[in-house]
This record gives sequence, C-alpha cells and structure tokens, in this order.
Amino acid sequence: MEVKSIMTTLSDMKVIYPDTQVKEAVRIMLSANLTELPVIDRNGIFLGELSMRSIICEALPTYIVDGSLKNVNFSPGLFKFEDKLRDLLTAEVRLVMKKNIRTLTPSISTFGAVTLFSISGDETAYIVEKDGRLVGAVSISVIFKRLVE
Amino acid sequence: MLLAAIIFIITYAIIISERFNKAAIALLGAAMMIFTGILSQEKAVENIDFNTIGLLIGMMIIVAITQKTGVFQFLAIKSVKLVKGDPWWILVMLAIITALFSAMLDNVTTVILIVPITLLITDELKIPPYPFLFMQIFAANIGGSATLIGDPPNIMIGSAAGLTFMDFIINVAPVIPIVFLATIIPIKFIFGKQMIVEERLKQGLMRFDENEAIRDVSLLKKSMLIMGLVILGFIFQQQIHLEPATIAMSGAVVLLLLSGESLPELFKEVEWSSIFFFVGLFIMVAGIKETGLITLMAERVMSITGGDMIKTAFAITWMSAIASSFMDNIPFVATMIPMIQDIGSITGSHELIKPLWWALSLGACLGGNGTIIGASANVIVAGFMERSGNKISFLEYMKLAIPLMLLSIVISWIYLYLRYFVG
Repeated sequence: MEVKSIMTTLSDMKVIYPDTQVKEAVRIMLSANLTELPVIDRNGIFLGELSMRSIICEALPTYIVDGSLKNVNFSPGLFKFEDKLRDLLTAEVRLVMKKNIRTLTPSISTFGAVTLFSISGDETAYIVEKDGRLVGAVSISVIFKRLVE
Repeated sequence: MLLAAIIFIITYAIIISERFNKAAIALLGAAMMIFTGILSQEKAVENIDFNTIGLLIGMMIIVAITQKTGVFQFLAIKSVKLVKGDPWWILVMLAIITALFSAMLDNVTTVILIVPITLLITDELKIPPYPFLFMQIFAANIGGSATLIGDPPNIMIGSAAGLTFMDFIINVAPVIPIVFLATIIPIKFIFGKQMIVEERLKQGLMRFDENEAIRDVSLLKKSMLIMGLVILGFIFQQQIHLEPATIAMSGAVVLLLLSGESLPELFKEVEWSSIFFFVGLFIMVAGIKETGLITLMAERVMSITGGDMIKTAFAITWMSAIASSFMDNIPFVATMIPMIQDIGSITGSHELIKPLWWALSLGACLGGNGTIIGASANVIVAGFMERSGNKISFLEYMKLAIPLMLLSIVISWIYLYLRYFVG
C-alpha cells in the first residue's frame, strides 16, 4: 500500500512559514494538540519542521543537549534556559526550525514509512513531491489506525 | 637503521599532523617495522607493555562504572556551596577537585566530568566560563603529574623503569602543590575583576541540591570500596608484589561483577583508540631501538652533556616541556624511555638516572599545558568551549598558557635541582 492512500493531505494540515513567530507556532500546536508543524514557503515548498522538542533543545545549553551532563535533578532551574526560551518565543521560526528532515514521496509503501519511523524515532513523516512541494503527512498512529480497522 | 628511522619519522609526522586517526597510523608504522624485517613478529609482541595497557583498561572500566553514580557532580556541587557561591572561590574549589580527580583518574575523564558542571555553574552565575576552564586545563595536567596513574606518560615511565605509585608520590607529588599555587595566583590577578556576581544569582546556585546528583547509592558504596582498595593496592604495591595492571584489572573485574553492569556496554566506554595507539607506539619504538638508533641518541645526549647528570636532567626537563606543548606527549615519552634506559646502561647505574625519570615526567606532563593542543584534556575542554559558543583561539590560550607553563617548569627544575643534585 502506498502512503498517499492513507496520508493526511495538505488541506487538512496546519502549516507555518519561516517568518511566523515561534510563539504563534506554539499556539497553533497547542490548539491543534500537536507537538510539531511543517514549515513551507509561500509556494508550498517544504523547508523543514518546527517542534516543541527543537525549541527546547535550542534553549538548553549544548552540554545538556549533547548528553555531557545527563542528570540535572540537583538544579531547581537555570536562569539562562528560561531567558533563552523567552527570547526564542519572540524569534522567527526560520531561526529555530530543523532543516534536515527526512521526507517520503507519495508513492513509497507504508512499509517504507514504518521502517523510517523505527530507525529515526520520529512519529510523523512528511510527504513531499519530487519538486519539493509538501503534499501531506503520515503518522505512526494513522498506520496503526488502518491496521486496527 | 636508516629505514627504521624513516618509518619512525614519517609515522611521527603524520601523527603530529592529526590528519588521520593516530591509532591507525601508529599501528601502520608498527606493521611497517615488521613487514620490512626490522622487527620479528615475536619481538614486536614482546615489546608491547601489557602493564601500561592493563592499567589503562582497568582504570577506564573502574571510572566508567564509578561515574554512573554521580559522585563527581556531588563533590563539585558540594564544594561550590561550601564557598557560598563566590565565583573566585568556586574557581579555586573546582580547580582543586580537578587536580585531585586527575591524580586518581585520567585527565580526559576528569575534564569530561567537571567541565559540563562548570559550564552549568557559570551559566547560572552569568559569568564567562573561560577563566574556570583555563584553570581546569592546568589543574588536570598538574594533578595528573602527581601520581603513577594520573597521566599516561607516568604510567609508561612507571612501568618501564619499575617505579611504583609511592615512588611518584614521594618524588613528584611534593612539587605539585607549589606548581598549582604558582598557576592559580596569577589567574587571580588576571581574571579576578571578572568575578563579580549578583547576590540573587549566588542564591540560585545555593538552591542546588547535591544529594540529587547521586543516582545510585548502592553502586556508589561498591565503587568507593573498590576504588579505595585499588588505591591501597597501588600504595602497597611493593609489599604485595603485584604490578599496577594486575591491581587495576582485578579491581575492574570485581567492580564489574558487583555492579551487575553489562560488559559489552562498559567496553564501549573504554577508549580502544588510545589503547591501540599505545600498542602501535610500543612496537614502533621497539623497531628503532632494535636498530641501535636509540642507543646512538643516548650516546649523543651524553656526549653533549658530558655525562653530567645535572645537565642531562636539565635538557630532558626542558626538551620534554617544549615538545609536549606542541605535540602529543605520549609518543614523545615512548621514545624518551628507551633513551633514558640506555643512558642508565652507559653510566652503569640505574639509581643515578632516577632523577631523569622525574625530569621526564614533570616536563612531559606539565609541558602539555603550553598550548590548546598540548594534551588530550586541553583539546576536550576546547571542544566543550566551542560547542557552548565560547571558542578559545590557539593564540589567545597560548598567550597566557606559555608563561604559566614555563613558570611551572622553572619551579619543577628548581625542585629537581635542590632535591637531587645539591650536596
């Protein structure tokens, strides 16, 4: 089965643009109960993804993100993290979004999508045409939904 | 002899260039020594110092298990709270902890443990981390010089010359606190003015709960017990007639069994690249030794210094310091060891050359402070700095590090002179 037959199409998806403010993007995520959003340009070309995880990783110091300091339970907080998070919320999405996102073509099999999920640890994959246009997304839950139904 | 020298010099040059993995290059050099018939396979294997290899692997396993307990972070936070969050005294405390850890663990492990917590503290205090990390580089290399297990050159020297843990404590360690003080006092004058912090930020630091850093109390007790026994084993090494490698490996195996850790997982923590680098070096040095090149070098040194031990020790101290500033001190020490052994054979007294071992140890270990590439610990700290957006430039580091390194060598030389050559 090809992913295009089960994917959520672009018209049913929430998208953001590189010049969207991060705070606005977070609001969209919260209202739609999502943790990530695709970023496209005005011509519909897929540019990357903004996720709550990537915002946190950007705000945290590198020595925590890279795993050098695994346990920080001893610290009640970090002023620098809170300040940086506040700054990031007023920044544009282009500064925080992740650009190197693996995408799938509409004709790829669901087996190919499942393989991508198992390797990458991601739960959503974006479906992009050969010309770079975002046409949809497939999530791990959609695949399970089909299996159960 | 010429062929061996060519293989050795080319390999050495490629290692220094740091363009390829140094372990692979050292092993290639070792293979060339065998392929060209300079060294037989049997002789090559015979010359691998398994005491050095065993000690390194044993300590790496013990440290890999112990660091999972969080004890190192616990000590760092405890010390920071002890000085009530005062930035200058935090710098001092973290430097002391770094020096003490590095005397017992290898320098790279020490900085990997201490630098992230230092960065967190300086982030919390909103002050630049550079003075802290600069001092920690020095503290790691200074502390590492003090003991047999503190720095790989000492492990190699101890094994080759039959010097014990206590020999290093008695002969090298006494000068270490002086060198430490001579480094930290100028740091106070240079960076002291930057050490101003708002009271509210200090209070933030005081809210750190060091007890939360301990992740596994049961493992902590087991690790401390084994670590203590291993150090006792090193101290009484002569009385129990065991080599340091046997003591470290035994401790590692017992701790492994007590901890229930997975061996394949733990083996991932062992720096195999360093281990194979040593294997390659031992064989390469055996190759040039076999051809008589090292003896020739030793005779040359003796003819230049006229056989005078003071001049020889002076030359070794300074040569080691300057060479170790700009290149990896491990291959340098690996080459110097057989040369000093040959000097011992020429003079006919291995007792007479003992100060030369201390000269080599102090020169090679402290010399590593001179540049940002002078020792592995320096490179690791520079990497942390760069990733956290505070890149240290080679020249910026050197501007302060070279004078401080030279000062440490002057102090070491005065110590060696007064202790071994006066009266």
